[in-house]
Amino acid sequence: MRLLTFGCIATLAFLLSSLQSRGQFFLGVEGGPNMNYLTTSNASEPFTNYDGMRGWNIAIPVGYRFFDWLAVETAPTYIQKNFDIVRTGFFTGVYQKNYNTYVQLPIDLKFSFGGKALRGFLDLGGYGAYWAAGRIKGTEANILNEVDTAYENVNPTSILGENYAYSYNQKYVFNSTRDNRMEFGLIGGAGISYELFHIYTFYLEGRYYRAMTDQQKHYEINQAPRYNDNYGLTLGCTVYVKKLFSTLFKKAHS
Amino acid sequence: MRHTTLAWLLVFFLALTGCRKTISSQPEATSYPGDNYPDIFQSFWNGMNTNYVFWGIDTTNWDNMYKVYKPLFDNLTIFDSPHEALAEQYFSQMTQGLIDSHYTLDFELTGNAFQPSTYRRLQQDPNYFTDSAFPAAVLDSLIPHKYIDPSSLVMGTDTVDLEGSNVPFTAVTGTIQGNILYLYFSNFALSQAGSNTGPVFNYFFNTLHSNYANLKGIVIDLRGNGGGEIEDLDYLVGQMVTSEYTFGYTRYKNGVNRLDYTPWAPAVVKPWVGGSVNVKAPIVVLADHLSVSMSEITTMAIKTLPNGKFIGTRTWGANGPLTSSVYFDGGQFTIGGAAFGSAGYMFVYTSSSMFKYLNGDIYEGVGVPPDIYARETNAAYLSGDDLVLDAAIKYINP
Repeated sequence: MRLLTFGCIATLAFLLSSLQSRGQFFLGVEGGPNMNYLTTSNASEPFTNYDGMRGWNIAIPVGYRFFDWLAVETAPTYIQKNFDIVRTGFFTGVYQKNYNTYVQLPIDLKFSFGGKALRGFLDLGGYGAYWAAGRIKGTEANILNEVDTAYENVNPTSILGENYAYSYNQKYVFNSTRDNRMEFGLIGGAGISYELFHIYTFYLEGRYYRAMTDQQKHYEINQAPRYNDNYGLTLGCTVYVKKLFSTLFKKAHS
Repeated sequence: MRHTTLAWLLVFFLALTGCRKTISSQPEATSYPGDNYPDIFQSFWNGMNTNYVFWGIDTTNWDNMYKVYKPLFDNLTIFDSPHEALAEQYFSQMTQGLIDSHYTLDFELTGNAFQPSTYRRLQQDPNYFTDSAFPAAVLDSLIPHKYIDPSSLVMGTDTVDLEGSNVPFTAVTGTIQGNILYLYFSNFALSQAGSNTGPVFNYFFNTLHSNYANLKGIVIDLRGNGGGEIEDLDYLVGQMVTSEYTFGYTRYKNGVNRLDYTPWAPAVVKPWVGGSVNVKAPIVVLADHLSVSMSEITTMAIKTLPNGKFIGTRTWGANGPLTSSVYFDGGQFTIGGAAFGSAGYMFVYTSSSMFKYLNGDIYEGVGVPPDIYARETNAAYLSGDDLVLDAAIKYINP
């Protein structure tokens, strides 16, 4: 409770100070779809591909605009970084979709350019993320649930014609030896924004999150590392707090 | 100023993006190039790292094996007979603690082989393979002539193909005391039963289907059974049940690193597609320290039944089903295929999946414990008794 009270007071103090300063404090909401790829090596797994998978993310951007061309921003984010393990050829039908949820905190510099209302911008920065939860959904060939190919006249054309499929959809159980739940990486993005009434800014951005840390702890020699590469499209809106408050004060007094 | 700042940041950012660890592309062990001992070692170590399915529970420190044996293999600079002997010794030492009890190294250049589970058992008990009169003596002279009702005795031997090798396949059936149906067979190759063993299974299954309500019990004798084809699980046990049931779980590798596994999939017995009956009488499975692989799987499948009972001694402990590694991204592989041809330098025979019994126990390397302990001895055999079968008869007809 004390922590919450302190947090509220600190936030209020920050908001008030932003009202007095030359810069502009802004906050908002953003979200959108993403495509995640797991970059790894699986050359020793025949007929096996690691494919990208769609996910989504939602965030609360909070930032401070120093100049018309430079702002610093962070955005507590809920983001999915999913990937799919797919077998091919005779093994088609065997797959595992991996749904991974991260709580992510980026910090980046936003460089903007262009006109008064319609502007372009670039984002560069880094992030830290915590792998909060996972879910796996898939189908595997069940070795001890065989299709009777010895006594029945069948001609299987795939592994699921030899072994019955076992389908699952379950919570991912973390392994403390294997899973590295902290992820750090880099952010690069570019987009366009439109400022309305000098208060609201709407934007559309393409963003790339490049994990620089392995999804696994280093637990063996010659370990094949795994990195998330996440490409997102984000639609968002921020408001300049000072200007919004000023407008509200003016309306209240008029 | 803004352009300079942005330019420097972009340069810094792009420089940072290259700071990932190198992702080396390890080929399949079979395709690993090189015809010298250091390369063969690297290929074997990587192949094991990727394909061995028991890393999650095996206590062998595989990283330590790399550190200890890599320098030793690096010293093997000449490919000749003395160095080959040393190499085989090193490979054996590296693997002697592995729990996979199917595990076998076949050295293709010399014809030598090393099986860690056999090595360990002989270390613990030099008489492990000789202190039981079963199966040969008991089966040849005792069971058919003392226990089986003479008018019901059917037995025969054929030759079958198991994993490319021709092996003798013996089967015995009949009734004991008129109301216990008995079946013995030496391997799981029932679909290959020929003119000599075919009548054995015909008698057993015909009696089962036509007279199951009058039977006091069924004895499936898997002592000394070396395992074989998985299809026989439903064909044998599935003819004695009318509904599907789960008796354990299997999982496979699903990644190249040691702890990459699929979820556990249920191991099931299904009523056989050709027909089955609901046996209510006790089904006793006999197994011993020489019951391996499919005979252990079948033992666990039977002991899971409410009317099932396992009598005998702890089994061999090779429970992980196996097939070609391409099926489940793990298991058996060949080393040095690129340099030494299709047979390669060494064949590594190992499980494709890990098996867990219904109660959560994994018996790989330790064997399935019996519900009722009974062991045949030479003294009992010489006095005309099969103590294990006696225990089964006593259990069924107390």
